Amino acid sequence: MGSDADMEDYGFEYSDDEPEEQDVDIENQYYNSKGMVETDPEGALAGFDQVVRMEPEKAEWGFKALKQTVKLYYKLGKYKEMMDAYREMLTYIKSAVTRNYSEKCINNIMDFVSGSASQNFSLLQEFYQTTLKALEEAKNERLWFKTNLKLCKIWFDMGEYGRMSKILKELHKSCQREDGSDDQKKGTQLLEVYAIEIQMYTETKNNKKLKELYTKALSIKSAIPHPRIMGIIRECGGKMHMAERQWADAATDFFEAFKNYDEAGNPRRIQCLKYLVLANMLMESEVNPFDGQEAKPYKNDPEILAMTNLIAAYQKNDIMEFEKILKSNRRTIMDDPFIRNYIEDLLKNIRTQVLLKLIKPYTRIRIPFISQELNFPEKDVEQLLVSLILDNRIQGHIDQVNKLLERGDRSKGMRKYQAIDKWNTQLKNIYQTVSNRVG
Amino acid sequence: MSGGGPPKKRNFKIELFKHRVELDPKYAERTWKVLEHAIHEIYNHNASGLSFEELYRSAYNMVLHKYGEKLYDGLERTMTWRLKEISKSIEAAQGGLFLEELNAKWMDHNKALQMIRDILMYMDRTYVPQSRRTPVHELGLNLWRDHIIHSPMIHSRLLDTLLDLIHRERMGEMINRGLMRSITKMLMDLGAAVYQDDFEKPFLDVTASFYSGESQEFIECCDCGNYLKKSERRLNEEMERVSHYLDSGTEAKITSVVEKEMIANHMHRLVHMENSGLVNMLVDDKYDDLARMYNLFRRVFDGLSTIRDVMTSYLRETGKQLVTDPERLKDPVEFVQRLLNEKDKHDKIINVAFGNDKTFQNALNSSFEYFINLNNRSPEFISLYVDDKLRKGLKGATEEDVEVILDKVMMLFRYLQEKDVFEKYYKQHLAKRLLSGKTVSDDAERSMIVKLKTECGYQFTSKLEGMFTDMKTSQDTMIDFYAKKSEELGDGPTLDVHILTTGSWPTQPCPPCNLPTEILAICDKFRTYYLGTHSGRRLTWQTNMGTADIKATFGKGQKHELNVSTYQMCVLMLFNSTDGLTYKDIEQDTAIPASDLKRCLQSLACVKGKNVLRKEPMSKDISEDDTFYFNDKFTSKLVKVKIGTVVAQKESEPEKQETRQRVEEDRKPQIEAAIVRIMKSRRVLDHNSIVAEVTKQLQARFMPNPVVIKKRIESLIEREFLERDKADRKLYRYLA
Repeated sequence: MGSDADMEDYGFEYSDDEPEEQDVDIENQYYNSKGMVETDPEGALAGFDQVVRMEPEKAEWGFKALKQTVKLYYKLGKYKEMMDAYREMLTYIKSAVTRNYSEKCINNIMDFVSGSASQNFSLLQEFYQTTLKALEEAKNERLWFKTNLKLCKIWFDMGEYGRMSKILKELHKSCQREDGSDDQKKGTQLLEVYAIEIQMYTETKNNKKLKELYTKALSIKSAIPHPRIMGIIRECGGKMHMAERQWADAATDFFEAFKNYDEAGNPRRIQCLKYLVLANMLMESEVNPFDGQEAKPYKNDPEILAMTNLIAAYQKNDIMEFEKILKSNRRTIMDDPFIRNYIEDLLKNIRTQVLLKLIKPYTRIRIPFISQELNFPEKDVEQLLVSLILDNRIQGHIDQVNKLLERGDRSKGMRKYQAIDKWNTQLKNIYQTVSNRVG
Repeated sequence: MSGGGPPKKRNFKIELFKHRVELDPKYAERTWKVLEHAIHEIYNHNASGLSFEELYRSAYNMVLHKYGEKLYDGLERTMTWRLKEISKSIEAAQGGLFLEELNAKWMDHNKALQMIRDILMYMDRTYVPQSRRTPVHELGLNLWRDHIIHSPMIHSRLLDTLLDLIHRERMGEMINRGLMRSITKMLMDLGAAVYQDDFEKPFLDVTASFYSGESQEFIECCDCGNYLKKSERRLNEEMERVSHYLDSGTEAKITSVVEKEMIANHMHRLVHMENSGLVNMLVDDKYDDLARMYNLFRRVFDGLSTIRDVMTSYLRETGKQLVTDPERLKDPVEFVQRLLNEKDKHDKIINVAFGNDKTFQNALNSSFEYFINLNNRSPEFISLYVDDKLRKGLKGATEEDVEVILDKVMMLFRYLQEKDVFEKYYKQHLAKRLLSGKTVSDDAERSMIVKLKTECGYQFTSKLEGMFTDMKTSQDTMIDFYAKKSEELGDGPTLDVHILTTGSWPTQPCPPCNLPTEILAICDKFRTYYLGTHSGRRLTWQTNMGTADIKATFGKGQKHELNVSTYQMCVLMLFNSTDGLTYKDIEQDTAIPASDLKRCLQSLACVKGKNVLRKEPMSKDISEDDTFYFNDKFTSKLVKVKIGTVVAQKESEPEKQETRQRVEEDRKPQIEAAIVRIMKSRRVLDHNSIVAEVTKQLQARFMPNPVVIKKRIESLIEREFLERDKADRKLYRYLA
């Protein structure tokens, strides 16, 4: 049996090797303390404090120790101590650690704290203010930006639009050049700001602002956007176009949103697919959105199936089936306020289609008959007929007394009277001639 | 007396004077005598006693009475006589007084000439034009030229004196510049031709001779920098001399002479001068000398091109050494840093010394392009440099600093002819950075991508962007996974997965290996979760790219946390249930490919300070007869021990070849796509035109090889995208 002393150094080089650590004691102290976190929290805290003091100047291990300290105090519910440790930790971010590492740690802690925001609102507020101030002083613009964005999202989830607007204004300013125009080099950041701002305007139904931002967002070229961000932007764009009754544009947007959400693995993709189906119906398109390969795998999803069946019934102009599907899938379809908004339009569309088809072979139809076929009250049928006549989609008129729809040229009666008038004139002439001869 | 009507008016009538004046035949002669006398008095400085009115009237009358010719001839004769007298006086002047005397007489002559012209103004206006004679003033100048300046004795003496004085001034003496000014002005007043023929030409000849000699002397005893200083000084002196006392028209001529003698004739010798020439200036950053050389050589035909040629040769040679020196190739980061430093250095020289001259910038660019591409590993090294910066080099740097560094790297990137090779390596290095979490700044990463995209288009960077998207998406996926499955997962190991889109990442086919059961369980849970979230997708584990953190307890109770690769984890977990395993056992239990397994075991058993396993027999290499044991005696100063994987030393060359091979393979479809695009639009095209067009389209990424293009054409013909023309076998047709 050989011992370590006998081992030769074969001179191997390591791939991705890092230089040998100089501060062995500090590192060991850190890992030993970390091992105590579960079993002896107080001991761990003391150990981490030791790490901070062992470091001659601010560096990596001190930062890590403070991070663990912050988390531990939070778990123990000692918020004041937590904030003290956090403030100290923030003093390390200027140069002690890499930008990415400090961003990652602060993000983790913010998520940690934000997770229980409703429980401790004031702590959350203090936490964010402390962070933002420290980042501003450290001139870490990127992390300052991200923190503000995160805070913005919290306000959004709480429906605090006033606070949101204030932050958004600052975020926009940070993405601008000195002349006030958007700095295109900050494309990725701009997109994130636009995304959350677009969401806000969607919720507050400010369509004018929404359109403006949507156009700006799509014109950014220099971004490497996260598909979730693009998904949000496109979804809101689709909703905007729906509100403007531009069904085709809305369909395009929802499809793009679906693709982005799908790439990101975001469950919103199902919702966007439903919206896509909805938009297609409203634009009376013959194209089946599930023919595309991206959407095909979702064809049999129960929620999608409801919409699929709805579209099948719609395309067959089967109003009975359409309404039956609506009834049996009320939760799936009607629970979404956005979809419910447009179902009325769908129903009107399908009734119109069925009605037009129904009256095609007749010149005269009884309104009660139509009412029975459409499963629609007589009064409503009459109303529908009136609007179709006014739209010139039906040539005819309504006989309310006899409850009849009479199709054909409404000037036929006029022609009759004209003929009689002509006849009368001729008679008059004959009479005149005969009288003259007699006289 | 009364009576009669009004008295009759009396008219006056004035009769013209009818008496004809008959001139005395001697009148003209007498009048001329008066005028002649007056002219002499004027020259004798006794003009104050003369009556201008009387003299004017006399001249007037002579012209009026047709004696103009007599008057004019008399004037000429008289002035000639006077000037001959003046000539004698000037000739008699001693030494240094010569020029002063000449100048004084000239001034007198001018004054006299002005008075005489005033007296004879009527003649100048009437008789002279009619008879086509020379005007009085001009006549005076001409006579002065002919009888004074061109007097044999004065002529040569004047020139010699002027040249001598100039020579003395060149030697550092003080001379009377005002006097010189007057003399040269006199010559100009006599006519530009007089100045040029009687002074300027000889002056230029003498100057050429002077500077020819001086330059010879200088170049023998001075170094290049000093020589240029002297040349510059001489040039400035000559220009100053012109502004002080020569005609301004001389400046271009005199500078041309100096330039020719001091610079043009010695240009090549200067730039190649030992120890002090252009190359030495470049090496030692002699900005002032370089600026001087630039400014002086610019005045000379081929001057700048001479500098540029030498600089280019030097740059190419220096650069060639930089990129081919075997010693320097060992450290890619150092390699690229030297290139960047060299670029900075010469950019500064061009900016400070060469006035940001575009032609020099182009020379610099073409030189860099030349030598960077001499080493076909440059793309890899540049990528490694960026990798180093983005891993740790940019730590603590401000955003502006980051941009500056990346912009400089982009300059080198632009010089690459094989940008697709760079892309291949960059992708590999980026993948490692992203997967290991070693990136210093995501913003810097994105900034680099944006620069590459700006340079080469979306096509070039789309996969790289896909990698970033995958990282973000994976992060979200893991967060969602743990949020939804936290109850199920309990206290088992923690899993962190990166979903890598096929085609975006430089992955290699990875045969499945046997993961430990603890890991397998959570992997299956993740798979179930993921395929539930993303129906229609396929998951394949890339176990050759993973890492693991393991807690280990050794013989005497010492605890360590080990950071190992996934393969190493698979091996180590086997020793939880046994103390010793043969190589074959390990291979069978883990199903890790042999080459990977051997490197893996090498890392675990053969590296001092990292040997958590013990190998029998002890040796450097792993053989299939070896047996491995858990090393109870393992100790380390560190609680957390990072065990890397040894670099496959013997495989670096094959690895390199493999990468090149993959690049070559990727080029084939690109060449074919280019050919199809061209033929689709042209329909019919000959072979050489196709090759030229394909090269033109693809050179933004790499330089296609004409032989390879030919092969791709053959391949397309076989697959019936193209066909040869029946009549002309060099002509190809596109088949729809």
